[in-house]
Amino acid sequence: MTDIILQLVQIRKSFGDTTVLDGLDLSVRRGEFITLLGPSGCGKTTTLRIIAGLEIPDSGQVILEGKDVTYDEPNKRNVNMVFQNYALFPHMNVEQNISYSLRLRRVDKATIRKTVEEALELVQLEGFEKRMPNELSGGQQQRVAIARAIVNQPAILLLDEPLGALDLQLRRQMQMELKRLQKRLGVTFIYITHDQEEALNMSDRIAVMRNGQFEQIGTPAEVYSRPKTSYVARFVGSANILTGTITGVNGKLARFENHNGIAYISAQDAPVTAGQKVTIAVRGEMVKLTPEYLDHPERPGHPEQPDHPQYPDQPEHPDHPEHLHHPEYPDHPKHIDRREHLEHLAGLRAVVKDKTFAGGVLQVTLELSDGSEMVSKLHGIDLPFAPGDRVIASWEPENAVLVDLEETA
Amino acid sequence: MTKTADSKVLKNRTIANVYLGLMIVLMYVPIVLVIIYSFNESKISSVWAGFSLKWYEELFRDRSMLDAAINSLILATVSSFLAAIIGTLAAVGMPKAKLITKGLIEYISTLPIMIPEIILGMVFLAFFTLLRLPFGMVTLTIAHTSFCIPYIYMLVKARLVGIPKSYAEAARGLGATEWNVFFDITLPLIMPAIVSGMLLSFAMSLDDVVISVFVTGVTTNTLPLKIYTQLKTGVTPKTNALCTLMFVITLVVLLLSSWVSRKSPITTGRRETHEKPSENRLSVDPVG
Repeated sequence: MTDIILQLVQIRKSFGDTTVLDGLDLSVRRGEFITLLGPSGCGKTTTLRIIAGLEIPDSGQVILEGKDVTYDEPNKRNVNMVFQNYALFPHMNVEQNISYSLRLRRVDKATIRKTVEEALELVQLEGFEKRMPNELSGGQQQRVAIARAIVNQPAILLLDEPLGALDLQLRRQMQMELKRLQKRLGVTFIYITHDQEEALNMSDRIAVMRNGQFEQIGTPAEVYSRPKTSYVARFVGSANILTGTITGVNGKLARFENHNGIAYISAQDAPVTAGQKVTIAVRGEMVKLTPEYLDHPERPGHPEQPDHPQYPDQPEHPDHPEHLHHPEYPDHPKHIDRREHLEHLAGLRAVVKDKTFAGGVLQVTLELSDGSEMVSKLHGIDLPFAPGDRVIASWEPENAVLVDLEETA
Repeated sequence: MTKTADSKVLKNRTIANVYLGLMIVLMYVPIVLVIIYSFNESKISSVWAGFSLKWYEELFRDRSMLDAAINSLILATVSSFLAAIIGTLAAVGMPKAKLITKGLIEYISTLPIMIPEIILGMVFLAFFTLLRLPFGMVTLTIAHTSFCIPYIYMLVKARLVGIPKSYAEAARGLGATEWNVFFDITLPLIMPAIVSGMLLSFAMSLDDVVISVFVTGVTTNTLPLKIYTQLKTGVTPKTNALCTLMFVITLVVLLLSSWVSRKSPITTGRRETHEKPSENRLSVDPVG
């Protein structure tokens, strides 16, 4: 049995007619770094404020260290909050800010001085005691806010998008620092962000929130590669969401089919039966692209079909690099066994709509026949795909994840 | 091309300067004149007969004048303090109140600023008569306090709006009770507003005639009332000397008020970007 430090039981909260939290359940383990991830307005800040005691839930319980604190005042709870705007008291210097909680408890001066010194050392701001908050940069203010929040040794530290106001570079650096600090202190962190990258970088567990409920709670790896719902798949790493029908199951593999083509998915994690309508999620970086003419010649639309309008004379088609369609090229359909080829190139037919290059990755946007879009992320910049090209999008079966299973008709 | 543009700018600037000059003359020349005449040897204001401090001497020998001055100072001090307490409590407490009539109350409480003073004076007179209060310092204090409250209330309220809620919330999380939050966080942050409101109230009270005329007693005189009654019997340069002194006191108070409000520790976004000099200072002389 792991040590549960905080439990939220069926928390409900509405403001006027708007239901913000709709029966939230959460267990937080001692010493863990858990991130509430969701878009703005999903209720994550309200959740944090309820834990801190700054809001009272309409119903439900907040159990902190085994004690029901739902209606306790914020100053009676052993939790501290770090705000996005840092909330450093502008009329107190760094030392006074950090020592505020200790002074409230009438800790003696020598201990205060020592504790402040240690806290500043921890956040690498030695010698900043006498500075006023407005003399500090954003990153330094953030560190002071964290130092202030940890000196009275809270059971839980609540962080409400603490890095939101920092620039990207500083944010990366602070992510690492926060993570290190958390490990060193062993304090439980409940962290809020809408930045999925930040969540994946720092967290032990991620709770993806949507409309006042948790959509999925799991380790970053689970949430990223095994999203339970299409919402999670889209929000964490913006996966492609496809709908279709299972047209056959063969042990570990299931055949997925829609009007764009056939694909294979792994049937290991979730049992599926033939005829079942399913939604799958595939990450862009798992989607491989192949020029369509390499596909099986009996497929409609294949260039070897005499009536294909777009590729009347395939081998000389000007849009493709010569080596790919030259009959002597080893992958040319002439040289490949037909069955094997079909297996190999199973995929969805699509047209390249757009391509953009960013951060060493070529992002190719594809349009499927129903007008929906799909994204493939490929490495390298010099890839032979131009807008208008017909391609086959395919992936390894284990990289496609079944999502939204409860929604199957 | 640029030359005509330049001359146009110059012309505009000239017009602006002339306008500004005219305004300054209209507003301040009378004051300057009064100050100058207060040092006039002659009894007739319009004739300059040489520099003298005799009117000031005479002023300080005038027992009733001094009594009036002391009354005025006590009145201004007491009523600005009372107004500061009441106005601050109202500004701090009002956002927390859950009254249906809150909007109405807020509106009414700022009325004394908008109502003509003469009406306010009438109202106080009627009210105090009804209560059978003896007219004198007590009624003066009540009246002055109540017309000073709105200034404090509005200044403190404006300052409170600029204080993020997260300060109080962070303090609460760190173990502070509501009381701790008020005394450790809120009060220090609104102090500049309270002080500048008090100084403003002090100045308002010090030179109030209209309301004071209605609520003062037969035996109680304030400085402005004294001057006003003197006007009826003819202006002596002594009055000029008194006006000069009052002008100086008011000016000092108002300067103090604006200095206090500028020295506020609240960081607005704009101020933060202008905080460079202090950074430079600290980088030259690193702390620790």
